[in-house]
Order: sequence, then structure tokens, then C-alpha cells
Amino acid sequence: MNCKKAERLIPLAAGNDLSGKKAAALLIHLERCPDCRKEAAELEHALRAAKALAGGDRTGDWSEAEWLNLMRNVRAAGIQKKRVWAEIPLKPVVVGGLGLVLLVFGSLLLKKSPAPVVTRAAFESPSIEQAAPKGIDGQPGVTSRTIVSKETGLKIIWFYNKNFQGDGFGK
Amino acid sequence: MNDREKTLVERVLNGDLAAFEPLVTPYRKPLLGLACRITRNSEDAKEVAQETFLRAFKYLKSFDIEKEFKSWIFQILVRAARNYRHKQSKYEVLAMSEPAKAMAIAPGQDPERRHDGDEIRSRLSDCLDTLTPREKEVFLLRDIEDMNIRESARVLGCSAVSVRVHLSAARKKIRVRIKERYPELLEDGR
Ligand SMILES: [Zn+2]
Repeated sequence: MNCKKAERLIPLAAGNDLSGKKAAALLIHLERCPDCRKEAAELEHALRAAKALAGGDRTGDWSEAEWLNLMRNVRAAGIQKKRVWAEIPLKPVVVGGLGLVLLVFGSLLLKKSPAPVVTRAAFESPSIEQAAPKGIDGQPGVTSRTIVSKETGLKIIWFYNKNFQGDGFGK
Repeated sequence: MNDREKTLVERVLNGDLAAFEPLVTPYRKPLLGLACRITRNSEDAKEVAQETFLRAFKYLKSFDIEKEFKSWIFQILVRAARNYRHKQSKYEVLAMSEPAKAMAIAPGQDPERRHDGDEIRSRLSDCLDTLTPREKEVFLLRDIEDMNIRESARVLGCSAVSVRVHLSAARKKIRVRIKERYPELLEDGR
């Protein structure tokens, strides 16, 4: 061990805070090195002196009346109750809550969105002639049946020719 | 934690609030003493110690019964003292001679002893003045309160390595101050 390392260990050795191995190595160095030995002795004496000063130092106390009053105040302040929510695991609650919020928003958006629009062009493009070719007597042999969905407003009209071959269009 | 303390903690938690006093009485003086040395003023120290008992009682439910009650209550005190220091900002400002006069002295103590007490206190205060707040906390816990390094680390909420580093620095500074201003104390020890 050199003096530099010894200097680092001496303050800890002064208060018996070195492990056995390090303390033994330091001791060997101190036996050979008068400078470090002097330093170690001074540190030990200084530490003992500081402890003696603290031992002789009266830091004061509460009077008995003050102490009893303090304990009364402490008891009056009460013990902190364990909060119920503190025992509820936070993560699942947060995730579940966010999911619920998203669900509510989603359903609100769906409710407000307009019913699917079926364009007029889509209805008009096939002609009645196409849908109901002429009957045997040359007159358009057309008969129709309309179905309207109450939920979506979709209107389905079925056209039949005289042979009751049908064709449907959405509106 | 010893069985006596364990029983007392359980009694308090089961509603026997009077059991708190015998639980903390052994720490009454050490806590006030440490608070005095940290705050350097007996009135501030009493406030810090009172806050410590209030918090210890309030949060006793969160105390792990398998751990040391002493470490736990000292930890509360150190934190209360830090908070107080923060709030008051007079930690570094107080003049050295003021706390010596302000310290409470037992009534009936004779003036000669009172004078000696002041002298001792001012010397100790003077030595502690050379330390940084962390060095002072470490030095007071390890060397004055006689806690071991691991206990001190637990109380201060830092590593044992950090305690060793600050303790080393503190002891060197104390030695320098005593050698400079009170060399007779070194002579006495020889
Ligand atoms: Zn050396």
C-alpha cells in the first residue's frame, strides 16, 4: 500500500469502518510510514474529541408537561387511514376506463352519422323496359312490389314481367 | 426490530393509541439532540422533532414491522429537518454564538456548568460548521449517534459507499478544525 491509498483509508480506520483485510494492509503501512502514522493518530484523537464534545453537550429536552402535551397533540392528529383506492391496481383501471371512453365516443359518432345514401342514378339507370320486357301482347307487362327498410330507409322495388320473372333495384 | 417495539407498534395499530408514547420515549432525547445539532437552534429542533413524532404516528401503518423502528423514525427526522431547513433557509445563516445561547438548558443547572455547556456546544458547532449538510448528517449519525454505516445509509436514503465517502471527508475536516482551533483537545486525547 502507498501513502496515497493509506490517506484515503485512514479516516475510515479512525472509526473502525474498514474491513479486516483493508485494516490489516493499512496497519502494515502505518508501521513503516511515520507520516501516515501521525495522520492516523491525529484523526483518531480528533474523532474522540468530537465525540467527547457531543457527549458533554446538553441539547435540551421537553419539560414533562410539554412532552405530555406533545403526545396528546400527536394522538389527536390521528393515524392516516389506508386509502381504499390505494389498494386498487392502477393499470387495469386506467386501461379499462380509456376503453370505456372510446366505446362511448364511438357509439355517439355512429349514432350521428347519416343513413347510407343511395344515389338516384343508381336507381334510374336500368329502364323499366329493361327490367320488364314487353309481354306477349306488346304492352309493358309490368307489376311491382316496394319494400322499405324502417331502419335504414332503403327502398327495394321489385319489378315483375308477365312471367313473374323479377328484378330488384335499391333506392 | 425488538419484540417490545413490535408489540407496541401492533398495539397502536390496533387502536391502543397510548402505546405510542412508550414506543417513542427511548428516542425522545436522541431525536431532539440530532435535531438540535442539525438546526442549531433549540426551538427549531423542538419543532422538527414534534413534526417527526406527528408523522411517525400518522404513517405508522406504512412502517414495515420487519425493519428497524429506530432507522425509520430517524429517517423521518432527517427528512423533517431538511424540509424545515428548506422552508426557513436559516440553516447556513445562523451565527455560531446564537444557537449556543438559544439552546435549552435544564432549569436549576449552576451557572458554571451552564458556561461549560455553552463552550462545549459552541466548539462542537464550530467543528460541524466546516461540513457540508450531507457530511454533517453522515457524521452525526455515524460518529455521534453511533449508527453503523448501513443504518446511516438507510436513514439518509443513500448508498453505503456514499456514506463512506462523506464520512471520510467529514472526519478529515473535523480533524483540521480541531487541530487549528482547539489543539489542546488533541493533546488531551494522547
Ligand atoms: Zn504513508
